[in-house]
Amino acid sequence: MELTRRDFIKLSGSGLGAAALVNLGFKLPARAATEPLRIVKAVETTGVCSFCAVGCGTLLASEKEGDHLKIVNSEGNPDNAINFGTLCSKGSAVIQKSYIDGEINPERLTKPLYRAKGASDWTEISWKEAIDKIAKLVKETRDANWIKEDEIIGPDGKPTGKKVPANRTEAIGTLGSAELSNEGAYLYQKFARSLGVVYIEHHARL
Amino acid sequence: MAVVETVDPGVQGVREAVERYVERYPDYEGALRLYGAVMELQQKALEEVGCSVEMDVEERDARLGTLVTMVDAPELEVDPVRYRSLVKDICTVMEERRPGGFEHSKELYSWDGLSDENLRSTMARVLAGEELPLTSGWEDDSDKILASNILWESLAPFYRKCGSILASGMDQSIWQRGHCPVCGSAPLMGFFRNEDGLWLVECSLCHTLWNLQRASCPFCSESLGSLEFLYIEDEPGKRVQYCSSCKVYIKTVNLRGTDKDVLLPLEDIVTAELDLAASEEGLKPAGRQ
Ligand code: SF4
Ligand SMILES: [Zn+2]
Ligand SMILES: [Zn+2]
Repeated sequence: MELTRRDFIKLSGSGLGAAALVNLGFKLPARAATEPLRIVKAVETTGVCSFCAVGCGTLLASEKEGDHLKIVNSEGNPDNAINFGTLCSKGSAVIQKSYIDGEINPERLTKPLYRAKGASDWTEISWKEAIDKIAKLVKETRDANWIKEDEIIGPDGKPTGKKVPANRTEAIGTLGSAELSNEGAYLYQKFARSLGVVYIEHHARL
Repeated sequence: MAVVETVDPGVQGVREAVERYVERYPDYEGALRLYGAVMELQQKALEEVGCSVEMDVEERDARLGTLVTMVDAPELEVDPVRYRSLVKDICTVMEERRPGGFEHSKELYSWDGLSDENLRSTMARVLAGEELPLTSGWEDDSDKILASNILWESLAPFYRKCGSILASGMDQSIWQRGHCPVCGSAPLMGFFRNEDGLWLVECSLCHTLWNLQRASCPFCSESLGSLEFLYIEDEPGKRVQYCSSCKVYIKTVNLRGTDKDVLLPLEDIVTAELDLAASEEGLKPAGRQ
């Protein structure tokens, strides 16, 4: 691993320091000069902590392991205007959703699970099955609990017999996500309202 | 608004840092002591030189907002007498501390290119990394490069002085580019700040610190998701931050959560292995493409 003359010329430019080390006539320490360097490569990705509504920015470092990337470190993103690099104790542990002590978290869900009526165990199902089931239940629940009209109550507190259209269901509630963008949250409530859902909630709490 | 003030180490600070580094990295002692001696001269000069650029905060921020650096580097007024004396002093350091000395020392500090009339055009060449028109006796490329390096290092205090005045109180979020907001030079090296991991890089000429975004490349438009890093297995705290698209890198020390302190010009020397690793990977240091 000797730097050739051509190399150091290539490395020299502004100032002295490492780039000009060899040019200055100094030898590189023995290890650098003789042993092959064991280089590890990694990539840093920005993310958002998923534990609460604050939505702090994270930086996740991952290294290649086989054919996938393995997260090796998580930290607060100093460039994020929400948290300026800080994370609370929950956010500091966000890596554990994926890896605990370098091993894949066994509790991590990677496929939809289904627990049949009366059953105590969960079974793995495909995304198609899961989405079909959810759609069917939404439709059935909505149809069975559809409120088409409301009756107007008079100033004396008694029903007037006059009806107004209502078109809602009170049998379904939705819970949005604090990690949705404004636009995502808008679309989400729009979808819920189009189903006639009126209990539109959000997990905005610590 | 993130404000980062660059603190100059001073002569004593340099001396103490050199001792710390030599103790920790004895293999690099010669280079550390040589560069430490150059830094001491620069710190001393910094106490004596002035900055001819006057600019209020509004004008400065307006320039930065339109991507113009605070100082037009080749146009900076440099006191030729003080400059020549610094060149001479740094030549003396080379004579005394460089293995094999520096046989062109006298020729360089008495070179006509440093005269009052020629200094500006020499400065422009040095700043642009162009070859100096040194002729007879300067056949050896490495001597010419060393001459450029000495002239560069001798300019540093003049730019540092301006940086220390003009960049004070600057909002870091308005720049975040791959060259210095004060003088436009490339970053020498960087670190992730102890308290919050903010990525700060130091200018290779005026030594001003400025902030870069952690996960994007400051050098090219393919910046999103292109920033990767590499390190040598037994030293994960020191890394090469590089762009997989444009292949430019900046060495960076991770100080996050530590109580360590670094003097980046010395750190640059003791992380020479990272430059080797980067060059093995086909990467180019910032500003030396
Ligand atoms: S406050 Fe804590 S849990 Fe909430 S987003 Fe930030 S780090 Fe995550
Ligand atoms: Zn600068
Ligand atoms: Zn790039």
